[in-house]
Amino acid sequence: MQQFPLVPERPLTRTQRWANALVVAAALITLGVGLIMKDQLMSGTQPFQDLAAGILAQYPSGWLLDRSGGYVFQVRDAQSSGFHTMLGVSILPIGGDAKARNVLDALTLERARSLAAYDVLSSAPLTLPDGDLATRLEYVYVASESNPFLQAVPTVVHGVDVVVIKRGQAIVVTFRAEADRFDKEEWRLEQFLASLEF
Amino acid sequence: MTTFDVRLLPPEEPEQILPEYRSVWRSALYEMIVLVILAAGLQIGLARVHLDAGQRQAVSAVIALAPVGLWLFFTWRREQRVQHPRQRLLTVALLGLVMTAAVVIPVISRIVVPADWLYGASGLTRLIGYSLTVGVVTELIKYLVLRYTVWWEHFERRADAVAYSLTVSLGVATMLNLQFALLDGGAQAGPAAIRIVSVVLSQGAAGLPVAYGLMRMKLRPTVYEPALFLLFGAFLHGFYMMMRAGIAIQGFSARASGNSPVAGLIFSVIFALTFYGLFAFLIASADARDEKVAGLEPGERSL
Repeated sequence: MQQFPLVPERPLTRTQRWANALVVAAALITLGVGLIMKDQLMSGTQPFQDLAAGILAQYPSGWLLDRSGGYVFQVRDAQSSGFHTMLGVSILPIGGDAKARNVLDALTLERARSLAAYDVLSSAPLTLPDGDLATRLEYVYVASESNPFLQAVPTVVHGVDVVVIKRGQAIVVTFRAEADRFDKEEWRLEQFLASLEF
Repeated sequence: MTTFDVRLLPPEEPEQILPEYRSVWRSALYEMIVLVILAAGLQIGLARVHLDAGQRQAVSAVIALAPVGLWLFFTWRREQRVQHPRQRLLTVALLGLVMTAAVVIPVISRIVVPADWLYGASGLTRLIGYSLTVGVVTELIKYLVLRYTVWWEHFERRADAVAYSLTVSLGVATMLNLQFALLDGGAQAGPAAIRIVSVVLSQGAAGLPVAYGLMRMKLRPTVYEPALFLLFGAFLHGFYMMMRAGIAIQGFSARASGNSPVAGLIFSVIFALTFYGLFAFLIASADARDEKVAGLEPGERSL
């Protein structure tokens, strides 16, 4: 019976041994460079600046910027399927003695009316990277496609609001993603908060 | 006195002379022609047939196995009808299949995840990204399979490199196609056939540089050439992914939008023919040079 040779019968020449090692090394190094490129592309950001609102931030490269609504700005990942992952900042005027809790209650009441199956998951204090104290509210709701011709199945959206009280106004940072992708995408909120300057 | 009736003796049959080696390019071209006819036939003939999810999986899986059937008919069967059949073709195909399931698919789907960063990227980013990740992993696996199974013992002529390269590439392509059919849900018969045939053709073409580099490593070893050929094969993956996406996915217009799988199939055929032709030319030139040096008759070594 013929043996299955896993090693050559005759020894390789030194050039062949080096060539073989170089192939494997070149492939692994190239793959490493490719993964670094992936990391840089995925975490790449571009600056946003609104001096009137007093906000500086870095949002993910390639996301669509929208400043037309009742918020400072929103960016959406138009390439994500289903519900487009969203980051946004809005500023709410508040009374002098208002707390973050009051802002979150108002947001909850407003969203319970406007969003389907809205439900709060948790609320907890949070310290931002620059040391500011904030409150984090997690919630879910069901989003339906607004265009009836697309006939899309409604999706469950997992959202986070981070509320900071500063200079008599509440700054609300909102992050929303499809519930299935939330854990995978949450780092974008952390990256955004780390770059945010009021 | 005994006499023999010469009319009773059986006529002497001419001895059948088997060819010395199987022509790898002829088999590859036959397989390509039948695959393209199959894909075009399914795209046109079953354009109005709508399959449900289970049927899509089953039909796509059957189509994914069609190239293996053609390979058995055009390559493996013919290999048994020559004086010097190439050994361990089945082993190489199976190892390509298994290593793709064990390494290539997990690395691509769990670590590289092209959907996260390459699907909507620019053409140049796709070219570089696919080359540096998907292309390199796929070609490294082909290299390792060939290097540690048949390279030393069975790479005797340059055409052997092509034969084994197309075989391992078929194994890789078949596993990628089975993943598409069974795990990703497959597609309607026509688009599924076009996608499957495109994967087989592109893998076959992109695998040639690695095998050519291995052949060079045996005949005229240099330290850098095999690595450069592997990187060239990886680049072909990136080039193919960039071009096919641009060709198959048509632009939006006021009248219509969508994609054109037939254009993607045509590009895949042109891509495969271009690199089959390039390496056929390189191998024929090198063989002719060797024949001249050795004082052999033209064609004595190259098949």
